Amino acid sequence: MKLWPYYAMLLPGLVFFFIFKYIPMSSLIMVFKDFRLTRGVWGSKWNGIENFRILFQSYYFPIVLRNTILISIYKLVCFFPAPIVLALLLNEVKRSWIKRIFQTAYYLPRFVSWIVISNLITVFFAPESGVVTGFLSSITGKTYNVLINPDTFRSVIVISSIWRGTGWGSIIYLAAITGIDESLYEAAIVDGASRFQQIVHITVPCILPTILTMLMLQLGQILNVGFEQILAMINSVVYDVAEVLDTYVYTIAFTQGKYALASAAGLFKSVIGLVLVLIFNKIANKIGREIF
Amino acid sequence: MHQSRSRSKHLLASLPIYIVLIFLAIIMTYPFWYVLVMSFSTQSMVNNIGFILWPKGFTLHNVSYIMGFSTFSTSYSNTIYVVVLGTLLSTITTVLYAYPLVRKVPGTKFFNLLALFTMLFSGGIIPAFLLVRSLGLLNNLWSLILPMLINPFNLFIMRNFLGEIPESIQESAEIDGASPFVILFRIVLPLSMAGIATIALFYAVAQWNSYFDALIYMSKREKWTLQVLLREILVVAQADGGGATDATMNESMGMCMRLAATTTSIIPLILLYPFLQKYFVKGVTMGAVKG
Repeated sequence: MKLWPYYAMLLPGLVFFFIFKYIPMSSLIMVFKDFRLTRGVWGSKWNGIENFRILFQSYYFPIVLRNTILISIYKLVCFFPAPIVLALLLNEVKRSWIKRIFQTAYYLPRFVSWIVISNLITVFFAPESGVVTGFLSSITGKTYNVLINPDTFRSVIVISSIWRGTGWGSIIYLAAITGIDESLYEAAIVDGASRFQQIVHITVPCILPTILTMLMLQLGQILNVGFEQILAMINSVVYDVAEVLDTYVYTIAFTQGKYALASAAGLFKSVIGLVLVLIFNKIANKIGREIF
Repeated sequence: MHQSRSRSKHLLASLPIYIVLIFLAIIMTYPFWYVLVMSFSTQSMVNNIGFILWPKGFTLHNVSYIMGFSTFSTSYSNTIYVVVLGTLLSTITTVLYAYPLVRKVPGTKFFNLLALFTMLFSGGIIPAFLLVRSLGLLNNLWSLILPMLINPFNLFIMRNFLGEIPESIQESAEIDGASPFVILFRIVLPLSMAGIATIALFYAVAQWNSYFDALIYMSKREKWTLQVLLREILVVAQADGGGATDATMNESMGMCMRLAATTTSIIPLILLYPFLQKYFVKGVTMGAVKG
């Protein structure tokens, strides 16, 4: 077959990947340099691992790392089961048109920006006038402040993630559930199993490969805690509990001008993230192959 | 007798499930309704009012005030420019890149890996910023389009859609002497419109909602996109006590005004969403189940 037209089709994409993905990767050598903006990446002088030394010894880096991992685990424990539970609940709805109406409602939050969501939280949970907290205040007489409060901020992050992503996340589990053999349920009903028993003994075990695969993929992403989300909601009061690796990179680069240091932090995250993703993807593949 | 007993038992067992599902549906949709309602209400009539189901003191003042800002209309048009152009270019380049891979040209594995690797590892925001800067694209709307031209996830979705087109049709056209471009445009594309619509929508929504790139690449107000402006009105201003920061904003912004700004951002989504939802769902199942 004529090949050159195909390569012509690939060309725009290749140019794109090369310029906008792979060239920036090469700029990462700036982490080993005493980077000056005026001199650029190639003109700056080498300083070995000095940037990493400064980074790991800095006051905030351990705090940032701790926040990243804690928020990630928090999200994993609370957010991960939610789409599964929703899928199981939705599956109990027998009329498909009712199901579809529910699903339309559940997917909606996924499509608004974090700026809007951050504002929704402010509006609904504002100390005095918020729809929810204002109502609570009128009952209990106490004022609640969730966004500018180090104790509750992480919960706000996790809960808003759940609000936004549960509906969307349930899609894949619902797809897996539709693949389950009907005859298994019929046999169970003959044996007198209740609906709950059917869920526990048939549905869940059948979608377990999907669940485990998704879990592995999620673990690979453990360092990605929702940069745009946190950036949209973070404020100086909650900095110590909320600053994660990605927002830290943004902070020291764009508010403190320490480009090399920020890149070092970024590289640290990218490398560890890559290792994690490769490990867990491999495990996910093994699970997929072993079940079948 | 037995049947009606088990049917009512069935309904009774379903009741808590339906209650939960309805409760969740309300939680996930009411905030949007609230935003809409407040946007068209008079601020003085809704202070400290809590739950609201219908506008109080219906007024177009908030919305018209917001739309009257020069900064607002420039950021809105910037956003539309970026979304339309970006979606168009992204969709085209993604389809062009995906097709040869589906046809399995020599080097397919390499080209796939090239794209896949960018999902696993990236230079980060500083090298990206330095690149945009050295390309002279700071304060240029193209900096919001080019760096995110192809999203590997959408690429995989497109590949899966294109892979469903029977090879026999394409091969017989090839034997008849048609060039790959002709095969792509005349035969394959019309059959894969669903896939194209899907990735176009994914790109459009991502562009519409993105704020970080504009935040770091645009220092000039007139180059801001809608989300960046919203961020200043909703997030930044809120943090420093609700004071307006735009020099041209004379009236300090109350909640209704702010939510009117939010409405302008979510209205296109809410209007189009029910019709486009099925594309998104199909796209995700296509991409994730097979990916």
